[in-house]
Amino acid sequence: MEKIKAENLRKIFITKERRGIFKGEKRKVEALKGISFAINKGEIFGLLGPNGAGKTTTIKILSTLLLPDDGDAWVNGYHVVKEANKVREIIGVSLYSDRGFYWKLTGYENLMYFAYLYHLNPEYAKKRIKYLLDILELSKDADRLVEEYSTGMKSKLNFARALIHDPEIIFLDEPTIGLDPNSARKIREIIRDLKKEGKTILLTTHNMYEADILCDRIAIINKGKIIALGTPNELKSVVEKDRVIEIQIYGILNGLTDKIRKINGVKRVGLIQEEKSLKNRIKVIMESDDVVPEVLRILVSEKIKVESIKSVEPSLEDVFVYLTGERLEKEE
Amino acid sequence: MQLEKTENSQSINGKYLKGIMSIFLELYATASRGYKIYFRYTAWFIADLITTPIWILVFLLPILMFLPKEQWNNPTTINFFFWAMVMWDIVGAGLWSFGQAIRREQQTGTLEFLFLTNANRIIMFTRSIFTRGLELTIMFAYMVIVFKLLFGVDIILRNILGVIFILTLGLLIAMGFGEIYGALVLRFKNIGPVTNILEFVILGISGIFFPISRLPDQIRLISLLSPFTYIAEMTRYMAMGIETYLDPGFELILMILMAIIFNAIGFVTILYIEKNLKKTGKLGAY
Repeated sequence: MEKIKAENLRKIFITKERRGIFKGEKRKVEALKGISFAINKGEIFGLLGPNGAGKTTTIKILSTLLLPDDGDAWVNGYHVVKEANKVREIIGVSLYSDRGFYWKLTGYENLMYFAYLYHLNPEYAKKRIKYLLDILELSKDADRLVEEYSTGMKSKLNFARALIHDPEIIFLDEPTIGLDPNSARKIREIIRDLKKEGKTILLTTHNMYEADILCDRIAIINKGKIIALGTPNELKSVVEKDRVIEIQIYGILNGLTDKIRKINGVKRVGLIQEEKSLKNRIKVIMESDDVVPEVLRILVSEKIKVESIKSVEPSLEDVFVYLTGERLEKEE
Repeated sequence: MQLEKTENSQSINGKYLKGIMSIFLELYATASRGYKIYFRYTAWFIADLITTPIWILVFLLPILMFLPKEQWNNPTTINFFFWAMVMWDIVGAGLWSFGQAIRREQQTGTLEFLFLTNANRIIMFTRSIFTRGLELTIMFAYMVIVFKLLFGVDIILRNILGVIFILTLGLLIAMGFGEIYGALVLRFKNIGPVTNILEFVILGISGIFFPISRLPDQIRLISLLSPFTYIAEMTRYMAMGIETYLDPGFELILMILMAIIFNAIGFVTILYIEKNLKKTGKLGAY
């Protein structure tokens, strides 16, 4: 049974680009170029894509925060524009934001305030908030002002707010971003538990590992278009017959990936740069291992310091690189 | 194409409050949030207590300079100014309570999360009205003392219930006026400087510090369009028995109508702007 359906959703934003103090130029940004998908009851559906792909725009349209320019969408059978009130009753939304709380209220008071705006019975709200704070390991900080919360604590509180009225359909925008590995693991466990309870979940992420282990189905979205849709295994089968090697190097030379890309038998090359070190990873998707010596020859001739080369199982990242010729994310 | 609709949990498991109870819940939540935040910023309250007598000094003393010296202890003159200071707070409530309440939600990044609920859009932005009510009460008592000490006159309060009724009605009108203004803040974001200018224009044309009968004819026509004119007139009428420009019964009816009309227009305007911002994607922008 379909719980969420989007048909040919389009959204254009008009942005103003400033030139000097008074001059400005309007520019059209096509955030969604007609995307369609359907999500079944009890399914975890992932929207995977780089920043600016249109993931958050999609969630905002489905959660009634944005009006589409064209197309239609239904949540639990209710039209997101014409029956927005009905949609808001049944959804819980966690939007990625490092703000969004009243800093002079405690974590508990913030949740209680939103519980009241959702018209929850105060007795139910108290029990529900206690339960959520417990499972998110925030109980001991419940009475601290939010201004004292770390980014991770605010992310968890944001997650708790989305679940406060125990919604049947949950939209999670980058639910683990900014969290330490333990907290991220905890959130993923809760998401799995929510699925066991029969909740329908739409989550956006640019973390391929997260999408791979959590989602029943994934739509890979890039530049406002869904470029692939299927289960993680179905998507990975796109590159299954190919060989993938990962080369860990120090530093990077301009034009290196282009040189590798020109080698006969190389299908795609992706560069994954690490922000906090000089280490970089190059992923090469190729027809066979015969290409490897030529890749190594280029690395040697360019005097690149290679730390390791290994053959890897195809991942969603490789699918993305294969489909778009671009890298999906920076290493976290 | 439409999916099969299933009953929303709201209708089936009774965990929600409905109807009038949900409105009370929103009011309680908004008021308690407002008071908590207000008292946790203690500097605001202290600043209010310090700045009130300073405003009286910097604003009223130069005005008194232009009056004959015997007027300085005239209870009617001094009481006129006293009620003007109270009116100033009412005008401020309209502009700052709504306009700036919406602005603060924009700045704290809570606006989108509020709009994800079905809570009443007016109640959500009323938090300052509750604290303004408390502030007004404290300021009132405080100003009575300050005026007594500064000018040595008693505050004239002939019809206390009438004054409370008019001030409450005045706050409701200010609320409606503020909703319309708040909708503009929602749309245009930072219009803080305009708020200051508008506040002084309203104070000038609405007969707050002097009766509108002293205004030039053309300006008086404008002042008759200002809702704050009637709040000021009726407050002075109830408190001091000063004659109103129009018939007091008529002014009272006008006030009640304005309270209804302004709030209705404000409500519709906020919904319209919300829809507009959902089109442009600027709802969460600040």
